Amino acid sequence: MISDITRYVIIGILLLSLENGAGKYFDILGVRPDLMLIFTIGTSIRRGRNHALMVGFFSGLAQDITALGFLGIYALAKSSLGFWTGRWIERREQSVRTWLWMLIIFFSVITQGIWQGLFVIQNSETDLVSFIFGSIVPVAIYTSVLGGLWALIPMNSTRWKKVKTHSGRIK
Amino acid sequence: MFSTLRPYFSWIAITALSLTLILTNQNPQGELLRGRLADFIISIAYPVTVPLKGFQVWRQNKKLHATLAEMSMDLATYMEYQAENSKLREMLEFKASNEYILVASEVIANSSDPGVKGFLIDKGRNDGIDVNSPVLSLNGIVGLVHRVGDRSSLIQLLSDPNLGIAGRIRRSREDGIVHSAGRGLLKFDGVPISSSVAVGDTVLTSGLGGFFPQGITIGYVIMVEPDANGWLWQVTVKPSVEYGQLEEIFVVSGIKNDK
Repeated sequence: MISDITRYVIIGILLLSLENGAGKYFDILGVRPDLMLIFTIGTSIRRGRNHALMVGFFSGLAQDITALGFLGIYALAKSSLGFWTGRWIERREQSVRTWLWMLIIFFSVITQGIWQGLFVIQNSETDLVSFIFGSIVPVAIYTSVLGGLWALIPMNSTRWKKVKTHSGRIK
Repeated sequence: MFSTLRPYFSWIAITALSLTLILTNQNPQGELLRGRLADFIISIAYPVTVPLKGFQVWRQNKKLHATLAEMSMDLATYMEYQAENSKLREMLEFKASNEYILVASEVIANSSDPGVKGFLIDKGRNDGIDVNSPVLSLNGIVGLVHRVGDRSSLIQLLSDPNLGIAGRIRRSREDGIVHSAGRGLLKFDGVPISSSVAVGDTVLTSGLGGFFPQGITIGYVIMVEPDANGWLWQVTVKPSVEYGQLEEIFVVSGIKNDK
């Protein structure tokens, strides 16, 4: 468990530094991927819901600190998405294929966006629908494509089929 | 009952903790803690930016050389104007205009937040920066300081949907409110249909809101059309600042002199 925590902290710090310090190099027409969400969903698939819950909470909290919105919005969204995705994966009998992995990321970004939008649009003229289609869908597409590319790396795709559940079962 | 809920205890606990954080957002101690944590994130994100900055410096240096040559030519002209201006001011007994204290700062962490636009800079309370200090770049207005830590500040960009500033059309002197229109553009609201606005007009800060100095470029009008009622112009403005590409910015930390 200690080695897991160390690994998560190292990956988390690297992604946080990359997302914050070098974010503009990922920028395509003002859209940036949510690397922390890929990390959270990846953890839920590989390591199960409880690991994903903690990874999601702390990575979300780190994002909350560097964002202007309410503290806790990302933490709640990411921890819940990690937990429930992990639970769904654990109940699924088949391995996670790349298209499904991309689809999970896509809908996770959308879900997180709807939750975030409820706070963001409060004092602005933007409505939730235009916020989702204007700001969140492009991020969801970009993040899921990036997640898909990562899963296509031979090393990852080979290991991808061995999904370890929280109960220790290898699928 | 408890055994059914047992697998969910951890999620319930984390959700309760997150909701507590959301509900206690206005707490000043929480804001202070958030500033400290932002300082910490700055310190871990900074090393990643160093190699990338080396390449940027080289590229920027080439661009700056060309700009410097142009500027030095302009400077000679401006110095003549300044001499003439001060002579005229003396004759009319005008007060000298205010000079602002600018704190040069680097953008360290860009927020990936798609809804709320902002970024972290490497200067904070220790450098004289305060909440609501205006933030400028060489090309124009950037935004406001939203939160301050000891060594870092969180900047709210003008493209953020929750920020609006008082603007003015340079040519016709029409006043209005500038705020985000989404997709990287701005809206200039409150201009009556009888007013003169045209594509290509420059929009400046009017200084009426009290936060921003007067006369700083906000952007350029790219579209003008009447609203649904036909009473006001719907003016779309392209910001003069490329918010996603900012590297160095200036925070107005005070007024230098007020003769």
